Amino acid sequence: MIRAALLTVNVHGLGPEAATVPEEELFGRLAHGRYAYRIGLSRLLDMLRRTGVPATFFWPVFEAERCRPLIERCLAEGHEIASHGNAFEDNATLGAREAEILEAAHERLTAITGTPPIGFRSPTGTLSPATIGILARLGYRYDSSFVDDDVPYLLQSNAPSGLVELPWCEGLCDATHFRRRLTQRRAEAFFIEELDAMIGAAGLPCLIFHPRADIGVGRTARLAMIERLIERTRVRHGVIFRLCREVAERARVTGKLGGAIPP
Amino acid sequence: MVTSTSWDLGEREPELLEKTHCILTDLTGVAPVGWCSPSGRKSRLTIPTLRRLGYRYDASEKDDDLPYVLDDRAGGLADFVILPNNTVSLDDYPFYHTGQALASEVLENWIEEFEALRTSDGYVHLTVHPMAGSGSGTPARAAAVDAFLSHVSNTSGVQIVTLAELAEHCLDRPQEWRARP
Repeated sequence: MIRAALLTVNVHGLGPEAATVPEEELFGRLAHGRYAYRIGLSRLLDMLRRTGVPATFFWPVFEAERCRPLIERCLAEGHEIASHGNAFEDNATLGAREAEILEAAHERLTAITGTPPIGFRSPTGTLSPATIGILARLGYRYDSSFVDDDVPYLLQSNAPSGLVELPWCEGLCDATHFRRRLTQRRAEAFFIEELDAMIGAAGLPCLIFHPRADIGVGRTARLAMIERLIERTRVRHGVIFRLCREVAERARVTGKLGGAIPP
Repeated sequence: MVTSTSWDLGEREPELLEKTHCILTDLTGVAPVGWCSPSGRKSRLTIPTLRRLGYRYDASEKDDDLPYVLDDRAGGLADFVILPNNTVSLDDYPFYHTGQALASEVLENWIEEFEALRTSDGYVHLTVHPMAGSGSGTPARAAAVDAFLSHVSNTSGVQIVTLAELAEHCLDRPQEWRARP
């Protein structure tokens, strides 16, 4: 048995702000997202290449359209592309339009990457009672929007969907700490505390990073901290980073839904 | 300069910018060449107005670690440069006000930023506030600024310049300071 962990990236650029403000009015502190386009995302990819970590990138169509070379680079470097909705819509409030929006986003992302995504993470963190059923119909195999467990589980609260849930953890998400404007060292201490305990409790750590400069790790100094964290996870805990699709399929096939995944 | 905390000045923005520009010029005897939004926000009218008033740089964007010269509508490069600031981790206010950090932790973070930028492509643009509440005005926090400046000054190959000097440096060789694609 080896232990697995997930390194995931929520590709947020101007999209969160553009959901409520016209894009041509995004300047200054409403335009932190542009940092992700200019340097944040390529630096994050450089760091993943240096460390040899395969990652799962959740791409909203809005950002994929604006960063074609970067999404192509993600693919070329062996990372997984999963869906992060269309344009930071709140699935919980879409009502009858939800299926149509999810389908359009699915088709567009498939056209951009050439392969249908099989994983989904809600762009705003919220879902409707219909979301999982729609994803199942579109061929998705896993969701990673919930924060209600430490290990993967089968999504079947309404009806068997065939989807595996890969829950994430707020303490293992950069935005949780940097939204509070913690220093890097404090954020690192929070990460380490959560990560060590999660692995100790046989959970499946699901790290989330953003390429932005404000809530994310696009800045060089913060990426250095993430590199130390990756090194610690591998060396101290003997953990191997896997793609979400690998862990979801393995979990479904073997029925082993804990953090210990057969190699 | 402009003391409003939001940036919804509407069509009156050019008039208000001109008014504050004149007040500051009268008070100091020198027309300012740089501007930084008090709220971190701008509108589509801001840069055209600043350029009309003779400004050379804006320090309100947060979208790069390097200065970049604006593209002109005519297709060339403008005589105006963006000097992005970092109000996230090279600033005192967010760490003290929101992050509840000690001055020693803030100093450590600034030094980490400085050292990281020194080995990649970027410049250090530190913002400090003179107030006591969430700024660097108190003795412990002023000492952190002092220690940071000592660290920078004692590093070889580093020069501390004013924003106006940096702006002129970039505008003297605009081709070298084009925006990243």
